Amino acid sequence: MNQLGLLLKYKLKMWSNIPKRRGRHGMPLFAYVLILAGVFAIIGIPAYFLFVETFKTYSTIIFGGVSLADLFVEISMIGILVLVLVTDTPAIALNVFMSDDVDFLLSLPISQSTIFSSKAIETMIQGGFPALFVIPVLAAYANSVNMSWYEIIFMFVMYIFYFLILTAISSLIALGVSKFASRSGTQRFMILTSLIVYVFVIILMGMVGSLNSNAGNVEMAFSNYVNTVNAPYLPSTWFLDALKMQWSGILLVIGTSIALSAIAYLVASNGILTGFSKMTSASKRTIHRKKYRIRRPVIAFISKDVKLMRREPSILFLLIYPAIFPLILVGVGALGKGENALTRDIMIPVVSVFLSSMYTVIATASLVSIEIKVGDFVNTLPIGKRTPLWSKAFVITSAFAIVMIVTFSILSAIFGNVLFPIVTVLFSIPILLTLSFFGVYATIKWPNSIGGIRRPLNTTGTLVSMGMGFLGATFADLEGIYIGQNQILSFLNPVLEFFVFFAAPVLAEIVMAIVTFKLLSKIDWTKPYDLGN
Amino acid sequence: MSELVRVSNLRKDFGKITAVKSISFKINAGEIYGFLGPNGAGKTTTMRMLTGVLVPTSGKIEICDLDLETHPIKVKSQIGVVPDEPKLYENMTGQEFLEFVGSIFSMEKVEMMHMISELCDAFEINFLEKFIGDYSHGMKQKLVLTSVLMRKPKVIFLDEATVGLDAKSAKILKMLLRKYADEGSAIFMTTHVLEIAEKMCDRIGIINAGNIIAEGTLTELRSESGKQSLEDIFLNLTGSNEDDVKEIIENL
Repeated sequence: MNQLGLLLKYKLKMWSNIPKRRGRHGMPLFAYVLILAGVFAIIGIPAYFLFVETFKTYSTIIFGGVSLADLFVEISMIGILVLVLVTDTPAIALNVFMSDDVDFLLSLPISQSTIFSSKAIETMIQGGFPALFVIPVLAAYANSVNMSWYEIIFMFVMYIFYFLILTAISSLIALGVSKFASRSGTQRFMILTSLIVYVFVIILMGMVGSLNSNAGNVEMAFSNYVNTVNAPYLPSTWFLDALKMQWSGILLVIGTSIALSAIAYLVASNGILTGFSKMTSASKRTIHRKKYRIRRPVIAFISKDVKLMRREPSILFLLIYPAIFPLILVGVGALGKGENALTRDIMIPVVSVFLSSMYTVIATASLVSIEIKVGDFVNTLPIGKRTPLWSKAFVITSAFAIVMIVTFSILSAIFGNVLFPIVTVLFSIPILLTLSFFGVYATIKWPNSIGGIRRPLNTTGTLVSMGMGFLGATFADLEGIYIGQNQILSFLNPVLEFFVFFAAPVLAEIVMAIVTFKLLSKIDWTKPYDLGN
Repeated sequence: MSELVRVSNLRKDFGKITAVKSISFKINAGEIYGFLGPNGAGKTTTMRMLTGVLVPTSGKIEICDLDLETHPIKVKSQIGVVPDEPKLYENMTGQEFLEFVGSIFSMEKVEMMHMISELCDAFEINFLEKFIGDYSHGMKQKLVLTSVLMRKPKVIFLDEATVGLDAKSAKILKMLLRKYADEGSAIFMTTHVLEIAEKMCDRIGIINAGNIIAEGTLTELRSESGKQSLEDIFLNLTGSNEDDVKEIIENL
C-alpha cells in the first residue's frame, strides 16, 4: 500500500477506536456508514421526487438561453462552493498545521506533500458529507431533462471534478493563510470569509426579492440575477456547460481541477509544512505590561466563557444565524408590507426563536467541548462542580437572547411593532436555558468522536438536539403568539385558546426542564471520557 | 513538623483492573516528596486522586488537615497542580489565563501582579499577550507553573514538571521548589528523571503495580537495598537489575 493509503487507513482505524477508548463498545464502521446512508436516504429520496416535479416545470421556462432548472442547479453548485470554502478551508489549515500527529509524521520518511494530501482528504471526509445532498438535485435534473444513463454517469464524474476544484481552492487558501496568519488569525479569517459569504447570499437573495417588489423592473432584475448566477468565471457555470456536453465547460472543469490540484500539491511539496508556516513558527517577543483585574470566582468563570464563546468561530456562526435569517427574509421582501404585515410580525420572531432554540443546544455543546478538551484543569479548581455548567448555560442563553433582542429592535425600529417579538424573547429565555442544559447532557451522551469543538455531537445527538430545540421553540412561539395577538383562531373559545396556546406549552416546558435536570443529574459532566491511568 | 498530606489505604479500581492497591503515605510541611515508578505503576492515578480529579474507590486523603472527600473546595484552594501535559484554553491569552486563575483563587491583585512579574522574569516569559493555542509545550508548561507558583499554595503537585523546560528554566524551577518547601509548603512530584529525584527530594516513595514497595530518605533506601545510586535502587526494586538490562541490550 502506498504511503498516502497507509496514513488514511490508520487515521480511519484511529477514528473507529475512539468510542472504544471511551469505554463504549462502539459501532462497527459499516454501521456508521449504514446510519449515514439512512439519513441520506431519508432526506435525499423525498428531495429527489420533490425536485423532479419542480425541474420538469422549470426546465420549460427559458430566460436568456438558460432554463430555471439550469439556474437551480447552478445555485446548488454555488451553495456547495460556499459551504466548502467556509467550512473546509480553515479546517484544513488547522488540521494540517496544528494537529497533534503532524510533528510525528514530519519526523518520518514521508514526503510533506503526502502528509498534506492525507490531511486534506481527512478534512474533506469530515466536511464533505453535505456535498452528498446535491446528488438528489442532480439526479432530479437528469430525470427532468431526460439524460441517458451514460450522460448521468458523466454528470457525476464531472461533479467529482467540480468537488476537486473546490478542494484544491480550499487547500490553496489554507496554505496561503497558514503562511501569513497565526492560528488565531486563521480563525479571524474564517469569520471574515463567512461574513463575506453571508453578504453574497443576501445580495443574491435580494435580487430574487426585487422580482416581486416592482413588476415594471422584473425583467431587468431577473436578467441581472441570471447574469450573476451564470457568470462565465464561476465553476458552477462551467459545470452546467459540461452537463450540456459543451467542450469549453468540460475542458474548464477537468483542466482547472487538475491544474489547481497540481499547484496545491506542488506548493505543499515545497516546504510549506516546515519551511515557512507562521502557524507553527515561534511567536514574536512581546513585552508584558498588562494590568490585571480580579473578579469574583463565578464572574471570572462567566467572563472566561464569554471570551471563549466570542473567539470560537463555530459558536459565533450559530449566533449569527438567528439574526441574519430574519434580516434575509426582510431583505428578499418575502415578509412584505401592508397586508403581509401580520405574517411578517409573526414569522420574524417565529423563525428567529426556532433557530435560536435549535442552535442553543449545539452552541452549548461546543462550549462544553472546549472545557472537556482542557481535561483535568477545571477539576483542580476550588469551585463547585456545577459552576462551569451554570456559567455556560447562562452565557449561551444570554447571547442568544441578546441577539434576538437586537435583531427585533432593529426590525421593530423599521416596522414599528415591538410587542410580539419582545414577548416571544421573554418566553423563549426559560426554554433556551433548559435547552442549554440539555446541550451539556447531549455532549456527554452523544459526543462526536472526530468532530471536536466544531461538530460536538454525533448524528444521534444532533438529531435529538434538533428535535428538542424544535419542541422548545414551538412552546415559546405558541406562548408568544397567545400574548402578542388578540385572537389567534376564531373558532376556539377563549378558555380553550388559553389552554392550547399558553397553559399546555408552559406545562410542557416545565416537564421538559424537569426531564433535562433529571438526565443531567445522572451524568458526571466533569469526567465524561475518564478511563483513569 | 506538621503533616500537610495524609493518605491512608488509598485504592482505585477501574472495572476489574486495580490501578492503585491500598497505599498510605504522609508528606510533611517543608518536604519534597518524590513519587517514582515505572510506566503504568499508578503514579498519575494516585496524583489525580490526590488532586480531587478522580474519586478513590476506597481510602482517605487529608490535605492541610481537611478531608478531600468532604471538603473538596477548601482543599483545592490550598493546592496547586502542574500536570505532565498542560491542556489549556487555546483561545485565551496567557494574561487572561493568569487573571482567570487569580480570580478563581481570590488572590490579592497587587500580590498577584508582583508574583507574575517575578515569575515572568525568572522563566523568561514574554509571550503572555499571545493566544495559548500558539504556545509550544514548554511555553504552556511555564504558564502553568506561573499560575501555580504565583499563589504559593500550601501543597504543590507536579507530574513530570521539568519535561519541556529548557535547562535554565528547569534549574530555576528546582530552586524555586526548594525555596517554597523551605518556606513551609509540601511538594509532591513524580518524575522519571532519577537524578532530579536524587538531588531534590527529601523523601522518596516507589510505586510498582499499584503498591508502594519502598519509602524513605535516600539514605534509608540505600541502607535497605545495599545499592548506592537511586537508579540501581529503583531498578532493583522494580524487578529490573543491571544484568537484566545488559541482557536485553545484548539481545537487541
